[in-house]
Amino acid sequence: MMTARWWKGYVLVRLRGGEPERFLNLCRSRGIELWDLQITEEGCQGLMTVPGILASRELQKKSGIRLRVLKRFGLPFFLRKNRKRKAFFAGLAVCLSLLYSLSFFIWDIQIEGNRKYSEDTLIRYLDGQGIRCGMIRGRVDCEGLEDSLRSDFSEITWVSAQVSGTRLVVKIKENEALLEIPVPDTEPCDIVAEKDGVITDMIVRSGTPAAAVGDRVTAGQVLIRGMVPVTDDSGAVVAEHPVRADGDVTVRTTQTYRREFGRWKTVEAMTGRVRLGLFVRVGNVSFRLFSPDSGKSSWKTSMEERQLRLTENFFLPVWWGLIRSREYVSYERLYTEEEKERAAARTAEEFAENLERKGVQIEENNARIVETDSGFLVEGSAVLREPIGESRKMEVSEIPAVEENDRTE
Amino acid sequence: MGRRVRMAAAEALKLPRDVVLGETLIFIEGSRSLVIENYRSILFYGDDRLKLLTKTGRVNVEGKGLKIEYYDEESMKVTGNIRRVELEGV
Repeated sequence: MMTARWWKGYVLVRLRGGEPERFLNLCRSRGIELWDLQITEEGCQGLMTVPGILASRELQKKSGIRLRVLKRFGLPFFLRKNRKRKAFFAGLAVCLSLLYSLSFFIWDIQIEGNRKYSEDTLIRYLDGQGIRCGMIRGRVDCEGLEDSLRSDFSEITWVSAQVSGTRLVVKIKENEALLEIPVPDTEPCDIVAEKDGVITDMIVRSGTPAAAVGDRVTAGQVLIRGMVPVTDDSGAVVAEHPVRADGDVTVRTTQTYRREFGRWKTVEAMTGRVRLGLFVRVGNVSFRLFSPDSGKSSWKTSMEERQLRLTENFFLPVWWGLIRSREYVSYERLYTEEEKERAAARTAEEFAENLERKGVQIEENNARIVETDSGFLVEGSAVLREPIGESRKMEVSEIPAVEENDRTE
Repeated sequence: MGRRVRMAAAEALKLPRDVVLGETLIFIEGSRSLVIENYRSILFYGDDRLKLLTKTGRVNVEGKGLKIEYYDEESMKVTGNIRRVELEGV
């Protein structure tokens, strides 16, 4: 309501002489707007629209009222007041036309739904197709882009490209199911140990166990044989069937680790001084406004780049960001006892973390600190329970050539 | 149609009296603002007093710094420090 009045212009008027109430009643019956009325020492005053004043001339005469304009508001009065400021209006016109012409280009490309293909890959692909920031909006062939994306990336099953404002939004869906079902290997084989250890658990799903729980095994030793013997009533082996051995074997092993540390620790201490700067990039030209640097000190700088936009989809080719630099002083000092212990604990933790990710259980993990000439050393040993066993193809000579009719005899 | 007939009709049919009879409605919000509907005209407007003519009588609003925020054919909104609202029958 207020903005509509502002566009058309309105004035503050004072009603003098005559019968103000009659004037108000007449205006009401003619539909002439008057609002925010109040009584001042000089009389009744209120706001009226410009067409309202013109339409109330006759009513003023009827009620013996004279209107005095005290103040003007709104766009028409603003334009009139500033009509001599040519440069201002020229600047405004240039600005608006610049914005208008900028709206014909693409200034932002957004890709959604990509998981296997990185955004960088897709942006580079689009660039190769001639689609990049700064191109004319009308030249984006969304359908062609969809087709070429689908045909060039086999994992993309659905694409939607859409230009909204100055932004190109490419939504994709990637194939989540497997393209082909993996065929299980059925060739006969043994399961052998790939490292030394003592067996703690053993489950055999197919094949014949060649070791038992509690046995110490060495790397390369057969754990489960891929041969199933067929015995007759007396228990004598009459035939052997080659199978693909399968099972889970867990062994207990001991593993050691070590990590060397120097005597000196580099410490970066923040001095608390902060420099702020502003970064603006227009197209390929960038500016940096920085508070002046005094002396030769070291700074840690971080910056975040943001793109300027008018509305959600109207992006402009202007990027800006705040630069924040923090001063630090680096120096070296000896490790304290506490820091040494923390280093040892962290070394042990990192070692355990790496193994746990592989599915290894840790029963014991001890680290100790050993002082050396150049600094100190963290040495540790851990008792692990880890799954072992890898398939190894049986040599042809191992498979006895048993005739099928041997059994029937 | 006479006033009595309309009154009886409003009574019997349970119709809202402000619509059928054009009776005045006044909404008061604390002592800061007041909205009045179905009034006929402004009789007097001053800083501390506002007199309105309605179909069945008069409404006097007394207070201090009374402002008419808006007024049109149907309603009027008065703000300021309202102290007293008086209804005068004809």
